[in-house]
Amino acid sequence: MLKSSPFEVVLITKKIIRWISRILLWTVFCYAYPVNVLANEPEGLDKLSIEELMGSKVISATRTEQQLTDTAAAAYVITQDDIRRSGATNIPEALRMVPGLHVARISSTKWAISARGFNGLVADKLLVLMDGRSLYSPINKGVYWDIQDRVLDDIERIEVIRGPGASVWGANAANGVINIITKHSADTMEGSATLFGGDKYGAGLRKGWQFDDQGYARVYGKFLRDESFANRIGNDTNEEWTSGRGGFRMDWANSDGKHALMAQGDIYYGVYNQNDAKNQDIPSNDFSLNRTVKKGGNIMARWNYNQSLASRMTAQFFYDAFQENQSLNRSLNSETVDFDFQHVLAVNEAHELTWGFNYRLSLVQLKPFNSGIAKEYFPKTFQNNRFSVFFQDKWRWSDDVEITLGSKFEHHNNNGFEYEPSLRILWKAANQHRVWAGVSRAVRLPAVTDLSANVFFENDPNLKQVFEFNQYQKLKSDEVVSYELGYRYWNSDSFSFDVAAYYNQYNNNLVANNEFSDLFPEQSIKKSTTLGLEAVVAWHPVDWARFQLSTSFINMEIKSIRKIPNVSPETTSQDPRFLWAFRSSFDIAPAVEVDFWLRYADSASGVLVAQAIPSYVTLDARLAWKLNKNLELAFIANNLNDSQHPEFYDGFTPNPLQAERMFWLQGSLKY
Amino acid sequence: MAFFVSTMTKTLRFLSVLILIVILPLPAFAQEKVFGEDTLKALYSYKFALFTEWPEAKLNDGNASLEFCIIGRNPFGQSALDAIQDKPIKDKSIHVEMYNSGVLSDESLNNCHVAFISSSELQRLPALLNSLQHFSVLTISDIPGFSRHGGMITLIKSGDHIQFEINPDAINQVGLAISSKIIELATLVKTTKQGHE
Repeated sequence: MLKSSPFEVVLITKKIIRWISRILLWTVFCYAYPVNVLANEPEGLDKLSIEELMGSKVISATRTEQQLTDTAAAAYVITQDDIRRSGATNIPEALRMVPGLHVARISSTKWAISARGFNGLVADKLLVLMDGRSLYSPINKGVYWDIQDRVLDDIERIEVIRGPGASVWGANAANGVINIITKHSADTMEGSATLFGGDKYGAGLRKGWQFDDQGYARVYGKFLRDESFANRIGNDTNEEWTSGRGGFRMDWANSDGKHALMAQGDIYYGVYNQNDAKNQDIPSNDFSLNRTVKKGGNIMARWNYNQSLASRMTAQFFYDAFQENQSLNRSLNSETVDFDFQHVLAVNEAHELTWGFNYRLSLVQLKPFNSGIAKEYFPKTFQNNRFSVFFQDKWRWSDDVEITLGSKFEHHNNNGFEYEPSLRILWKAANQHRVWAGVSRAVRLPAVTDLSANVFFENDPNLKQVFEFNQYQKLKSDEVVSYELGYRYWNSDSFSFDVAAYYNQYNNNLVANNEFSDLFPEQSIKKSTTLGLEAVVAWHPVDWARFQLSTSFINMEIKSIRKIPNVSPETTSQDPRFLWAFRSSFDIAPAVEVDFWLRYADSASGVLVAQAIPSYVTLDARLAWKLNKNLELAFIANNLNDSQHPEFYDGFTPNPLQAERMFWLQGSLKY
Repeated sequence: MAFFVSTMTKTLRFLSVLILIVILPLPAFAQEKVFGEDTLKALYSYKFALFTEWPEAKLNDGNASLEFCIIGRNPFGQSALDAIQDKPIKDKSIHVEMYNSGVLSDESLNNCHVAFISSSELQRLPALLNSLQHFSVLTISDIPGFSRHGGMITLIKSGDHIQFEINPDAINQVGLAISSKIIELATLVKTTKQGHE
């Protein structure tokens, strides 16, 4: 393990930044000439004859995604091509591309991902869906990122909306919604095999086929092993993560296209050695590890009924099961059953109405690690019933103004009735200029972990106790009222600019009212406000070069009611105030691609000084060579400029674990 | 001296890079017209509309714009849309209207002169075409087999070029007429895959 001194780190960082700016400068010069040729005086394009069109050549350049230009929300899309060029090997890594999304790796098996603040090991205000199936865990008020994966080539796109999406998606979509959309199985007829190895290794395999005139299917399998991460003084933490998964998707439509069916399912199994609660400063490799097994699966079916051009209905069902077995026979189990119906109806030229209902039942069972301790109430099964209806009207008020008004109404067996309204306005100010604004309210519903918690006693890490609280009172949901304003400009495909500002007011009722707020100082927040700005500039000057610069800023004001004296009052937020990212992609030869990805995260405070995260700069790079139509080889580097740095602290270790520099080679075959 | 040499070297390096960069791209752009796939498809669609005759009643609807409707997820980038937006056709100018959700009322549909059906609508294509056959709307798509299912014009990528299939019966059935100039250049097909009726 190489350990650079801070001086070296600064030097290397400076060098790399200089290098990048040089590349950028060169490109500016390069582009000055050919762009004029490419522009092809657009005025004259419509004068081309049909014969000239037939003689024209198509370049397979990828274009900037434009679907969301008319969305009245802070939206961003990651395309399949973005994923490929990012060098990501799993979904959380791909999400680092989203401007304004704070993606931080805690350890080799854990991520913290959130938008607009309140990030954590399980960020409770971000809702994530995969093909319409909610990934939000009923156990731990958030998403377990380590169990969400796919063969990345099977993902068509990832749509991210920062800000509340609760009027349609419902509870917990308070700060953002991520929609992971996998490819239709008609688009995965060719087989794909990916193999990578180096500082981490893995393999993915997919096979698709057609079984009917309008029926397609695919199966996939994926294996991943990652043992990166070091402790503060550069020793390997012995963390290990091995996971395997497999699944299928099939799509079928009847001959008149009125009915379409989609079914998919996955199973997964992962073995974790997690370095929890151990002294990080010892030089030996002798850590005691917490061995965890996570396994589970899900199955879903969706029926689309195209009643007419003006009316379409979707009914969907999914079942999801999850089990986590930790050392000392402690286990967490959850099962979810969900039924969803949606109807999109174009009433007339001006109104597009969407309405639907949803029922979800989740069961959570927690087993104690030591039944000898009297204070424990477990094992116990928690049952959670949720029923909701929503409606939304998209009203084309005029040619230039579109108003979207809607609300979700939910009933939850713990805290009764909730409403989540939203009003959004899109103004097509001019061709290529859009202004939008929105006001919405969203909630975060109580989860099992709002009713119980682990408490560690400092002197003896083996003496943990489980408390149950709040069980005799009705919990009020966390709520947020959000005010948003955004502007987009684009000049053809070569340049776009997108900026969004927000002001959010939170009432964190859940943690404020609990009986044990003295014991959980970091949670006893009552009210908070966030004010933030997110901006992204994309520039595609020539076919062979693309750049994207993004930044986000957040100012959090947290009014806490903490009662523990030695905790400073302003340290609750673990969110960096500033994030910067610069991505550049070059096709330096017809078969050679080079990608650079530079990211900066501002420092984030911790409850104790040793737990704070210093600011960091990190550079990822990818060099890929297409040997032929079917085979691609890539060399990928992560944290090129830095031997190690911490990204987030989750409270399980005495101080944060550190992400290391990594290299790997990847081969992808299409057959 | 050292300073002078280093400055010289830097200037030379810079100049050589500049020259390389200016000269290298020349051959690539000099010969053929090169477009993004979506731009070429948009230009084709415009051309088809230019050579199409709509029934008198549909054209004299008092509207100054010729509605170009995109049904389903928009497959066009901005430069593709810019290439056709506001372009003139028969005393009207093109207005692009998006129906990203793929759902539109009969009223909206009747306003469309051209409907470009996105590949996102693949599986509901027969249902879509079934609704569309009651209106004088020129239907264009890049879904393979579109014309054989009763669609009017299919854009087909073949190698580096884009060609097209036309189903003349489908065009005539709804009272449209397309110029023989276009027909001559197309591969002609008939509705062979029955999915509607």
